[in-house]
Amino acid sequence: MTGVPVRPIAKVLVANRGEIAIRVIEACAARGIATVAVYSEADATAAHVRAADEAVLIGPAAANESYLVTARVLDAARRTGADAIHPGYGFLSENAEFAEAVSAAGMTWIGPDAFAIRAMGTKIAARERMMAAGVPVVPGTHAAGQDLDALAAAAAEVGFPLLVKASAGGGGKGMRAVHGEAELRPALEAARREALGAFGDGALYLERLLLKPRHIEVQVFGDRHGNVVHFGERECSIQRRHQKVVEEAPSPGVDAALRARMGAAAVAAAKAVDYVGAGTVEFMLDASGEFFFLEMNTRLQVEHPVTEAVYGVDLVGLQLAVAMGAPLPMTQADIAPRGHAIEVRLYAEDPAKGFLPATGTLLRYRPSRAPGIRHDGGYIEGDAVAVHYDPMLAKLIAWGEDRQHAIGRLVRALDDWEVHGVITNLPFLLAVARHPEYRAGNLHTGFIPEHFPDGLPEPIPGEDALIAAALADAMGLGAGAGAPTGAERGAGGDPSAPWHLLGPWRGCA
Amino acid sequence: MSRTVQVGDEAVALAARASARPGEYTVSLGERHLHVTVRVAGDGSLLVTRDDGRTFAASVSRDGTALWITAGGGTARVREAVGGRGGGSSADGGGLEAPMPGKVLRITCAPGEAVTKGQTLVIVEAMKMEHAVKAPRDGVVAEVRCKEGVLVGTGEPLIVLTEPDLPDHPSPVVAKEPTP
Repeated sequence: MTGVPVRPIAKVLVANRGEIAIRVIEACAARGIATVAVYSEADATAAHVRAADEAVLIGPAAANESYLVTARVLDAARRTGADAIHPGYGFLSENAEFAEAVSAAGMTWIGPDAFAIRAMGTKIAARERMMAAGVPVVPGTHAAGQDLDALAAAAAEVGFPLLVKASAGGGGKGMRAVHGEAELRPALEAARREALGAFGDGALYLERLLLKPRHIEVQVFGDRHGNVVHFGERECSIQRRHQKVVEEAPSPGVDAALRARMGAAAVAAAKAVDYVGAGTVEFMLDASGEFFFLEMNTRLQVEHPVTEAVYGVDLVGLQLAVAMGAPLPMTQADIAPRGHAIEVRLYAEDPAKGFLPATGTLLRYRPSRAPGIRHDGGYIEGDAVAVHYDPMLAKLIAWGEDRQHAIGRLVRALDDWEVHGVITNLPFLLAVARHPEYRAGNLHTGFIPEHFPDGLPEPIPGEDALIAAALADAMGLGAGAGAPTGAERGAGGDPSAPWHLLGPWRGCA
Repeated sequence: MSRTVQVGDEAVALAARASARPGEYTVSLGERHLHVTVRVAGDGSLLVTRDDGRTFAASVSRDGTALWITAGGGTARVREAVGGRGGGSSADGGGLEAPMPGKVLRITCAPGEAVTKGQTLVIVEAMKMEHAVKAPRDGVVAEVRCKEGVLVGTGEPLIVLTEPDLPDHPSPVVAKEPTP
């Protein structure tokens, strides 16, 4: 294929928020490309707004009135003169109509063509296409009628346990595991409601639930010259309710021979839809070493940094280059892993209360800065964490010469990560990283329910923490960037005096 | 200044008293007393040297009456002791509360309806995920205190349940069994 036009990009609008918006903005800035952030009323002072060169308000807090409104995002791009749009992940990243609208407006869409998004976005159609391309798929229904009776009848054929999945789905939304007939109908109803709410499409399909499978996904990359390569696998088996929590590359369950086979299957899947840009082909790997196509995510993944760490590649930089029309600068023979990387996702959720979402103000927020540690965060100290968006606050990635070294660096970094004011899964991440079965690499998608059936109780303060608490009270320390609390304002004297707005004395000991 | 905090199942009284020499304190953890030397770092965190020479860093944030503390590996929330009343949870009483801040998506029960343990009563959505609020026991819905589409905060009452055999006498949240 020749004659691919070169289309330079001078200004990118990033149609996202949080850590991924910042990740993309930084990649652009490093290449001298100007950036435009969009934000909702709730995000007026958010970190991604500060990181960009320009920022445009696109609506109220609710995502379906701001980040998900294609017309407002496009309008922001036109008004600021952006010549390209990067969607990040989530939100509009897998919206084929939006991709088309961006191109129709004369801008470059930094992502795969609408055709590939559609082909893989409808999970039912994707399964059929993969079967045709010779890629193995999980047994399940792919053409069942959509009323509940038809789905229930189809369930009897697939057999239990099974998974109810949203055809338009992703990120665990609209997904339910069903272990027997009695659970089926409520699961179908809930999945349909969630799918309608999240994607505006209630179509469901059913799939056999494999026992103790590993979730293995392969990073693929295509250019406009017909080249597709893969950057090996990521293991994302540590999941809770189908939300990934811990990811790593390479997988402790995949050797070089299996990597080559899965990589070839993933490249075949990508080529079947003329894939351009960064994509991920997800597989289930069962205990016998058989693997099955699950779905293809036609976007950058949350967990892309582990691949970057192990393969020494900047995937967002590569997205920009490919979007401008450049050929991939490497061939498959150039691509080899080095060392091991693990990513953990910091979620605002309470492991002691069924991982329910938590909100609050980040009174103190200081990630580790040790060697080998990368922090991709969307919040800074003093920010409020509200109910409007995804509960993921940040990702921390540890690279090591081998898996044990990476785990050692990870544990140290988690120990040092100061997150005050919002309950998070940080203690849970530590418990996973320290778990002997995790260290042994014995991973499967039921790892969390098997080893942490009741989550994790709130940590009990240790002796050092109690000493620090007593000292903080005696010395009047601990009121950080936030406003003084009611307790401090009421600590005596005239509460209207201006001194009370300053908080306690600091740094005078 | 002193406080009594919850440490697992125990309540522990904490206090610190400055000694005559600057930066030196006597810290009391319940009946135990320790001598420590403290320096304050530029970012407001503490460097504490204990009797045996071991030094650790600690950072502290105030959050209402609680303290968040990172010290000696890991972060914990230090909270005021619960007190002697044993703290029966809302599941023991008649009230069913929002487990988290979020939006009431759907109410799947009606006043007067008999419900069984485990039955979903309300579906709350937060951060794009649904969570079912389920009946902790068999009972009758005495009152629905929330509305679909409305935002609720953690602990806000959603449903009031009565005993199945006493439908005419809604038990208010405070009517708990005496605790030992």
